[in-house]
Amino acid sequence: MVEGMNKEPILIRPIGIIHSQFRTRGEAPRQGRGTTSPSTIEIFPEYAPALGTLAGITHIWVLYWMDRARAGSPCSPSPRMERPQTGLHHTVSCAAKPHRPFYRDDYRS
Amino acid sequence: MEVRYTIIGIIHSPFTNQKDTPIQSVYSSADGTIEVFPEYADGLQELEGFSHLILLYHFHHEGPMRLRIAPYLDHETERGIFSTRHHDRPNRIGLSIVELLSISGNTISIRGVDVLNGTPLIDIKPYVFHFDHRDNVRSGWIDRADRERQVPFTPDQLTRKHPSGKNGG
Repeated sequence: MVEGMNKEPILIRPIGIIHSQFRTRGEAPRQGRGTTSPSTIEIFPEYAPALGTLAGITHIWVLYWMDRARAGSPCSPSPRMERPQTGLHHTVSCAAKPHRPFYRDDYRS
Repeated sequence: MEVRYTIIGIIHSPFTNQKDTPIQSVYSSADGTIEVFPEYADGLQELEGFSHLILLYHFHHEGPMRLRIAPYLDHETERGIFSTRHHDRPNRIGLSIVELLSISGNTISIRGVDVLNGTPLIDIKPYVFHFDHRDNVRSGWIDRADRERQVPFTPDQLTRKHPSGKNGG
């Protein structure tokens, strides 16, 4: 542990919304390459200047909050692992499961 | 709306100041360790079978939020922050793909470290070749900058030091 390390939670503000055709959890593919269906990302106007020269880039990393993930997880933690009070990191790191609050995927731009 | 993240560990690295820290893992041979807080150690089960990890972390040093930035690779031209990996983002989230050397208890040894010592870790995900690699990739302004130079960037150019000796920010 680093001395003076601040363990305060980190607050993050969404910079936009991902619009997709998937309405329920079951419909969404597990990985971005599991679908060819086009979607759009709406960047909130205050961040639009930050897109700049994104043109010419074929792929982007998209990090998002899994707002509708269930509290439970198919990648179950063992009974020994206590669920943190925040309820955020209750899943294990053994796989990139969607039932984890912080997730990324690649989309063609 | 705000989203709240809990730190799950700390990345220990040889780098204590920003200007000596490599800007990309692929050009770093530095070793480091990840200290996963004991309450999350059970989440490391089965991770050892993966050669590479995706680390998501918080750029914890102070810095302004900028929507346009002249990136380290091209100190001349301002780019949209979302077309760069620069740290002065609206949400100061960093991402590195590092090599996994070994895991002992709640300590993970890694290679290819490109973060400051003491960086707070948000998440670990396994790098999975068939999920994560892409063919036929175009890299926009980075490709153009390469073409203009006639040669690809060298590790020496991938530092945070401004050509004039001034820190590139």
